[in-house]
Amino acid sequence: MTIDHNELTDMVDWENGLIDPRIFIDEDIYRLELEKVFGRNWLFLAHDSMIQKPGDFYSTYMGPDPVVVVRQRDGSVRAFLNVCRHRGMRVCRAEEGNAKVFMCPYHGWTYGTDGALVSIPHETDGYLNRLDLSKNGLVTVRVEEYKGFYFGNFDAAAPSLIDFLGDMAWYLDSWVDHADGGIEFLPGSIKWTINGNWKTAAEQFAGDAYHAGVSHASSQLNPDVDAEDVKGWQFSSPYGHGAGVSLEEGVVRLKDDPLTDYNVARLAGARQRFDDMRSEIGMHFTVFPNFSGLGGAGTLGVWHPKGPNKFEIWRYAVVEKNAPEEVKKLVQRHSSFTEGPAGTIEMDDGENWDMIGSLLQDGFQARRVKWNYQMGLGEPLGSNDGLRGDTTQRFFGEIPQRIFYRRWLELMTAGDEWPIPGPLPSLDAKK
Amino acid sequence: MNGLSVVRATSPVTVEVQHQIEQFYYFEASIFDEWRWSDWLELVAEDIHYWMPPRRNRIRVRSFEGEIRSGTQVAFFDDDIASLRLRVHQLEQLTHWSEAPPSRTRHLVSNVAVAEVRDEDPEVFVVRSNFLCYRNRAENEVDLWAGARVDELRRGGLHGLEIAKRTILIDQNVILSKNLSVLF
Repeated sequence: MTIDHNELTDMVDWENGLIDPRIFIDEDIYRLELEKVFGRNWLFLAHDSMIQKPGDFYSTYMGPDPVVVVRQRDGSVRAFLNVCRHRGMRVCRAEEGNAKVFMCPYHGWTYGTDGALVSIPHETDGYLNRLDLSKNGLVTVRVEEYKGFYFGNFDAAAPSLIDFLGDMAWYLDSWVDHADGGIEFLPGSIKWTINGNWKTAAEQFAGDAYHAGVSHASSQLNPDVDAEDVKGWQFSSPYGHGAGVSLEEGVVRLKDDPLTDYNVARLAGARQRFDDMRSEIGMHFTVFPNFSGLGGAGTLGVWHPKGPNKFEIWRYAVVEKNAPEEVKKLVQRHSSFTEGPAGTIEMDDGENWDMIGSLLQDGFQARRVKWNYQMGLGEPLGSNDGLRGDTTQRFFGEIPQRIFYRRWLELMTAGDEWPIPGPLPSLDAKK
Repeated sequence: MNGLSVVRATSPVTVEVQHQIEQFYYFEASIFDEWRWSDWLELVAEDIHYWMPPRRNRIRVRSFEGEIRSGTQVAFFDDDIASLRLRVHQLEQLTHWSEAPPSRTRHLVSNVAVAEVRDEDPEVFVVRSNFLCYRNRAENEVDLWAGARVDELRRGGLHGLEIAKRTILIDQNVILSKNLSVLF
């Protein structure tokens, strides 16, 4: 499949903040995206706490393809394409559990937890002992870890995970290391379906604090984020990551519930641990392309594409590992109340993403109207004291979204070589 | 976990009690379908636990008790009376966009079986019922949710019975809708 690079470049005029909505609905662009975006970037697989013992596995997706992530006997983590080498059947159909082997239900090809093909029925009287089992293991995914977060990559030429995360890692630290002992994922995940394009959600978490005041007007715990005086910054990474950062004291989503005492104590501890702004900030973020979260609300999620106009949201609740059980329960209940398809905040996001998808699905004229990403156009990116990487000095803006699509375009038009991103523009201005 | 499975074919309650429980559910369903959310709070006990856990895909598990995890875990709904009141408050807001315009729902309740009446607490009925909820919204949005509810109904309240506990087993792993903006 070929899509003209000039045409794609015309569609994604990130410098002027105009995006052609066909990139959210076109089937050919979507198929190319699976190769160029999902095939080459680090994609979140699982957290350490989800697969603790040898043989523990978790089934997830990289782009639209199923993968199974397994804890090995030596404590390491490996991941495999969940597709049998014989006829392409799905080998593991459970979403989690503990396994000694994975047996394909079609002909019984059986793989070890290390992905190696260990036995096949009729090896002697059918295959005449001539099949080289060692050449027919499950397709291995490259796996790297950052502070308990395991990511997978289909591209051997991609840079290391830590290089890919870059300054984004510092922002993740502000959450992961905020409490002594780090974080863990609570058991289970919440999964639901949006008939829309995954990028509409990913870009929102990268940079869209703007929507909250209107979209979430009816949710009682929503802070007054439409207030003019929210002190905050936006972070953009040349790799496409983005975050909106604000002082946690100003965006304490939990301020009216019994977690307050715990959070106040945690903040005091973090101030001793960090000598910079990491102790102070809460954030919404997207690790390019499809891993997003809300620090402070204890929620993380992945936008799994299921086609140009369909994606699933897989959402997790995150707690501090050493928090008392009572605090973990409160965080979980708060997360259930606000996030997920029944979440008082998140259900109103679904309304937007799904109805936009419906308009693009049916529309002709609707596909011809370029979307406007011009908020904060001209706002310089630069360094700010106590923060890391390229940031603005505003909580509201669409710079992370423009940089998200800048990176998306860079990847979509890249050649065989893995495209190391160029530096971001406007790095000169420090206000 | 009590009551996820009905273990006997005969009812432990009289026809009259069975009738009262069924009428209670039909009344509740009409409240849901007529958007009378505040009225619904009158059917709910002050100490209610309203819970919809995710349904997991497990390979070797053949019982609800094995499939539904106990302990702290994520859930679609995990509410007490305070958070249910907030949900009802939200449902009444004109800026609650996923319910503006509101969903046209039809809650069908069937297979109402009293699973258990404990000797030590004859005023509490553990009731398992099935539901089918059809939703049509805006111009052409359609959702269909099937599942079971396991309730503890207690004698009391304004209408003779009140819901002290509700576990909702929705028959989907990945929810196939953009939201669950209605109650079950």
